[in-house]
Amino acid sequence: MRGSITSETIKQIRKNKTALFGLFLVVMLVFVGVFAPWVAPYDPYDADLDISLHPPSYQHWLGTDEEGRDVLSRIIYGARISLKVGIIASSISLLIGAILGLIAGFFRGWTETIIMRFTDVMFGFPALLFMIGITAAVPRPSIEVAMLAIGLVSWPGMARIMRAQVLTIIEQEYVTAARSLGYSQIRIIMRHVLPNSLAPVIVAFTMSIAGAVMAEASLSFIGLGAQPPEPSWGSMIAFGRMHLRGEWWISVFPGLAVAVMVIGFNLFGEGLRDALDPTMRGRGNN
Amino acid sequence: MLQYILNRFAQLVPVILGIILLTFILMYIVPGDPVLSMVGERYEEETLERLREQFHLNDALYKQFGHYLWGLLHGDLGVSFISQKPVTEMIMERFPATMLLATGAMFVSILLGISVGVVSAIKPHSWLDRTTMGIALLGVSAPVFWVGLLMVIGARAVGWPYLTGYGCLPYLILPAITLGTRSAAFLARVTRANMLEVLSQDYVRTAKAKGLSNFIVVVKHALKNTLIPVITIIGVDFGSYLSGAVLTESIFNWPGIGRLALNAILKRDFPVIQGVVLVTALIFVTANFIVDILYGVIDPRIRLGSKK
Repeated sequence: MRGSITSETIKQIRKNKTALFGLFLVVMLVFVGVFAPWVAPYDPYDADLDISLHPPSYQHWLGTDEEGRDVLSRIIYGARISLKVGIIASSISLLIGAILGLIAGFFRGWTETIIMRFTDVMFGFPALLFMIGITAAVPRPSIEVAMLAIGLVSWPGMARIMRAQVLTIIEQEYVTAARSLGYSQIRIIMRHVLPNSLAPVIVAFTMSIAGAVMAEASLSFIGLGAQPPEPSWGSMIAFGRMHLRGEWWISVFPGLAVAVMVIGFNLFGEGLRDALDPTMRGRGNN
Repeated sequence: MLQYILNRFAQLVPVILGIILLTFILMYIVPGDPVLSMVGERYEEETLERLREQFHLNDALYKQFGHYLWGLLHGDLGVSFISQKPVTEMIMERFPATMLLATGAMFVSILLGISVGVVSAIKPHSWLDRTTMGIALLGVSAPVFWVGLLMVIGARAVGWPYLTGYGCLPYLILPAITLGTRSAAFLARVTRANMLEVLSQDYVRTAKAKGLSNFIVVVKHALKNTLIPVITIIGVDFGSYLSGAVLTESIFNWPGIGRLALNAILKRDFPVIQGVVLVTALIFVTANFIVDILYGVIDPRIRLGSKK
């Protein structure tokens, strides 16, 4: 039965042009990131002061930065950092959110009240400021700390979705049947609840990658994420700030890269949602 | 209605207490001795001890929290490690600037977002609709600070003089557009989607059949019914402006609490960071609370449903 859901999902996505466009962007960026050493025309760390601040040209399509490094190559390598942070940070928040949501929805009662109140509290913090607070609490900022901070702050949405999903599933007949057969709680959770609640979680995961990519760029822009000379898009934009009078290419192109990645994951996530949830079909992308 | 407000309020109290506790713990687990960062390179052991006494750092954790809570009740957020000024005072000084910026951003967002959304919805799939929605998609996905830099580049190119500064209205324009772009774009997309849905409803068809003009139908019937989701977004966005303000204020040298927080982070001035995080979180939940109340006012179904 699971197989038919998957093929139905693929069929739905293939019909959805916007989702396909998102998928195309994601696949392209993953390809560029994974094969960066072959795709990038230059070494992203290779400084050459003779060609410092050159505008876009035939040799350097997107120009060079202050130290004469090729902006295009740095953007290509930057895709690796953004993807890594996006996927790992979202996995952290998925893990925390899904487990808490599952426990809350399955066990109900006081456990649920405490978990959901905690979720409300976490929702109460403006996310970026909270992430800044965490990264500031650590002696030395790094991309790993930023990743952890993003994951630790972004889970409440996931927890709410998971709980709502579990609440509807445990009302289903097959769960009641499993219970009356005397199966253990663990077995019911692993065999019935978890597999059937995955769809919206996968959608939320895809979209949270977009959020994490944006958050990483923001933290790195402030200086609390990737450290120089790492080619993170956020810190590239921050360095480009010094050259806004003439050398616009240093900051404009990395920002465009962030936007493209965010658009890719969001559009693909929206497409997945429409494909997985029949009631949403046809809305929002007409 | 009163019952509804009280219910919502009862839900708000534990959240606020939780926020206070979490902010306290966050700053408590910070590694390193905060007193050391206060005294600088040369110090005597006695000074350290005196400062620890002064800031109650030798007390047990629960006592420190009690102290913190007691201070909060009196509007006392502690003293900055660096400037030795009261944190409450520092935040109050800069608060008006941030509120002005957030209000400006909200103005941009509503004006631009709703009008673009309505215009797109009137003729869906036209070139105008496609172009504006393409721009809106970019606006939703672009980082705030990048939009800010584009503004600076553009402003320099045309010679706009009010780039960074504070004091008269023209200075507000670029920061407000920067901070408001994202929610304007989001609002445009949501308004359009809602309008399209409402325009396909029976009562709209009835109104058209009665011979009402397109304009009246859109403004009087459709727009009113798209307002609920729009209000949510405005409310939730107001909270996110406070986060975005950190980035926007740093670009435009805007003297608000965002820049205060950023400077405090660079100098590891923890009472100030704690104060700003707490205050913004409180504003954020209060904004959400007000949105919930407004819901109840606009839509009786929500108010009455909550009684069950």
